[in-house]
Amino acid sequence: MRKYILRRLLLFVPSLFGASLLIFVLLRLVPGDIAEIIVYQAGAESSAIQQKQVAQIRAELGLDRPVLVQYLAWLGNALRGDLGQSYIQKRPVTEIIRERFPRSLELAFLTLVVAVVWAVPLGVVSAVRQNTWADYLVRVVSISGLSLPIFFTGVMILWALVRFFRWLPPFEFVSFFDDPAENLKQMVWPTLAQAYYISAPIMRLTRSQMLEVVRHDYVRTARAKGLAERAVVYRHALANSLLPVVTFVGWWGGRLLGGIVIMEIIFSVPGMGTALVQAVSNRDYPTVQAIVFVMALVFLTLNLFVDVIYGWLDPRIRYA
Amino acid sequence: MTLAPEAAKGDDFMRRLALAIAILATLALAAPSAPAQETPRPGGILNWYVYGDPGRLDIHLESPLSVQQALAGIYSGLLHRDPADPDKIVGDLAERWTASPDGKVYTFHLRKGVKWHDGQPFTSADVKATLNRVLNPDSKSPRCGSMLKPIVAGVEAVDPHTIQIALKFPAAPFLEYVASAWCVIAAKHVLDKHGDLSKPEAQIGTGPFKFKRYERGNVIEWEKNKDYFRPGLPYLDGVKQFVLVGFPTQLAAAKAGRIHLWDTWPPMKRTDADELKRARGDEVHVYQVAQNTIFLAYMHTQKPPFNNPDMRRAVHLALDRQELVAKALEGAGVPCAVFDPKLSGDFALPLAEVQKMPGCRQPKDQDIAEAKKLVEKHYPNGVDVEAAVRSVGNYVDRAQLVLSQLRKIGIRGTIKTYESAAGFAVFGKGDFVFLPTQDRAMVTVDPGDLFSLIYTTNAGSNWGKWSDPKVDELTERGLKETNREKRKQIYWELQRHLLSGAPSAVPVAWVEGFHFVDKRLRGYKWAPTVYDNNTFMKVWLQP
Repeated sequence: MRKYILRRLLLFVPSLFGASLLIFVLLRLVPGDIAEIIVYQAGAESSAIQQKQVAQIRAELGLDRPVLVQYLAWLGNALRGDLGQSYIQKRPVTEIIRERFPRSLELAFLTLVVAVVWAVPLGVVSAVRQNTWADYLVRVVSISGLSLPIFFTGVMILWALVRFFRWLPPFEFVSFFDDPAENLKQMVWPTLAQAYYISAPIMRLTRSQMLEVVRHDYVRTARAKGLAERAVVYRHALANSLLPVVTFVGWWGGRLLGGIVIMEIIFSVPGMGTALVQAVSNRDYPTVQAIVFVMALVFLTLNLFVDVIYGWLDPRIRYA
Repeated sequence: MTLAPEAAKGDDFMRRLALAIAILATLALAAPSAPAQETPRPGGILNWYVYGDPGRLDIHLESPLSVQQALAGIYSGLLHRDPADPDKIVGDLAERWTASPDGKVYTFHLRKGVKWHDGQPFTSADVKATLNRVLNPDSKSPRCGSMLKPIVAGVEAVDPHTIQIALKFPAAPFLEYVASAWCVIAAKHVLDKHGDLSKPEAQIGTGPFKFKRYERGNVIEWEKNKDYFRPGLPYLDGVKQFVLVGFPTQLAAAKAGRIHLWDTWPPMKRTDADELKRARGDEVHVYQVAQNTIFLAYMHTQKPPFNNPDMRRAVHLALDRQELVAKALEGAGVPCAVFDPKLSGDFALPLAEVQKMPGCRQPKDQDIAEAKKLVEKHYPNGVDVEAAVRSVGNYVDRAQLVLSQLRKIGIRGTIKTYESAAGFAVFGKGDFVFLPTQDRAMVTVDPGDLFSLIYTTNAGSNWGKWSDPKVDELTERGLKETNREKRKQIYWELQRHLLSGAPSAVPVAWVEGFHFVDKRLRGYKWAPTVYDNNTFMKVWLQP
């Protein structure tokens, strides 16, 4: 098991390197750099001065150097723990990440917990009571969760809160550790919207896995032994159905950090997603680079975690 | 009985007096009683919103509205728009000012006893440091600098409370530029210490509010400056600006009563305003207002097919601005005008004249027939163009409407969308053929701004690379002409020239939008530009 984890950890290095290189190149392929955006967006100075200013800003930020040189310089600094200064906020990007990361992490964590707590039991009920009204209801709920765009759900929640209660969650972010009640007042709504969206596939996956497992011989044997139905379903069937669900949840967990951006925008949560969107639209390269790097790291770590659980649950994977 | 002449005189006087009293009494009874002057109540926090995170806070070096809004109450200018009557320019840090007889030297006499928020005294050295900063040819100052650099020759501090600004020539819009919310005065000692004004800790002003807190991406907070140089002001204890990026969130905040006013970008559409009125009824005052923003369609004059003036003229003739305003702006706009009379007053060509000109008149049949002929002359089978559009707001919908109108004359467009910032970069470099829709906001209401921003050969937003010596010459004359009537004639000539010619940027409409003010908020007046009169120094909240 140790060897397995070590091998997976070693795979982190090329993956992170690849992610950083990819984002570095992709960012430079998008039209416009920060110098052009700042100068042309204002569009006020004469055209000759604008060209001079673009060159001046590029020189100040080192963007006039070849891309490879820029990348190697960034990589060298990153290896020493310096992820650079934000062009826009003029402060170290590590500070931005320290500020924003816990907020997005909290939202992602709450989303996953709510989605799993809600979706797995409903998936089980749907499978156990196949083709009953309960099954149909769960399937309708899950299909609507899959088909409604996430921004629509978020906006509908806002609309309903204003329409029926003339109330909105707070706009001012308060840390959970400073004021848990105020924090949850803001976080619960994006959590519900996002959890509704991702719970749909979890529900369906749990249902289909359960339907497959309950038809296996060992489940029939458990029943024949006279075990209570609850024990058969939860101890035998569900435990063996959860493997793909665990993988899926782990994969979603990794995606969530960047995927909750729409909820962050709608519910005014100043997290990593909004910081990333702002940095991309301003071509704040160091900030984008650092946030994507952290997101890739979280994604890889969660995947490793899932793989380890998988290996622990199924020894065949460990030795493959 | 005859009265003595003196007695007759006295009798006549008494009669007239009685008559005057009777008339005054009648008038007093008939006239509606004037509303009692409300006494402002101090206290309370104004809740406001800003559409995006400002990021860097250097008001002299940045250009987004979000930056100006984040700092509006923190700084003062030499001059500003009167909060009680925003059409008037009055002194702020300058108590009074005089101009030399030749109009080339302005002397500003500064208020005494003004303190910066950190307690340091304000002097003319601060004004000199600020102006030298924005006038520095090597500094990027896209708002204040770009206005003042072409006209200011030098700045001299005569004594600690007097500053003299020498102009290169007598410039008509000089005071308008000095009063701009972007030309506020920063502290020399702060500039010396921090190098620039980018960071929150450098926000030391002389304005009615102090910069209290900036939670990036979340909230900006000001608190009352108790040492403000206008005794008794401000009335509010503070102002909170929530960073609300999504339009649905902004509208929900308005409907739930979480913000007291909406006077910022983007304005509400008519349907949003109706929704707000339904939700809040009598609690809010919703109004339609000119945004000092022009909706343009750009063509690149150095790329086919629009390097041909006939093709540009054809577009001008074919565009049905009335339809575009009705459908794309929900009726909130002034079609075809080069200037909006609501903003530019009599500098704007009378709308009655504009609406009769080819391209602007209704019905469109004759103009479309003529436009079609112009296209057929050069492209008998019609022509395909790529239409570049920033994917913001309803720009793509607007572009589709424009292209559907041009299809009638044989110009077939395919839309290519750009992310907002990428669009500016692409357009600024001139990497496009046709931009069916692009709004440009003016910084002041001076009529010269539009031409020096968009139409002169060296204009910063002359993206279509148009060059017309007559426009350059008239714009230059307009800038230097101090006689108002003569100036008006120059701008009328410019407007007629644009509307009868083939410019690269076709004026489609002046944009209007909807704002609201919570009725508990008193003393607020909308200024002619979105940047002005948002210090809230005289605004107060009724409990």
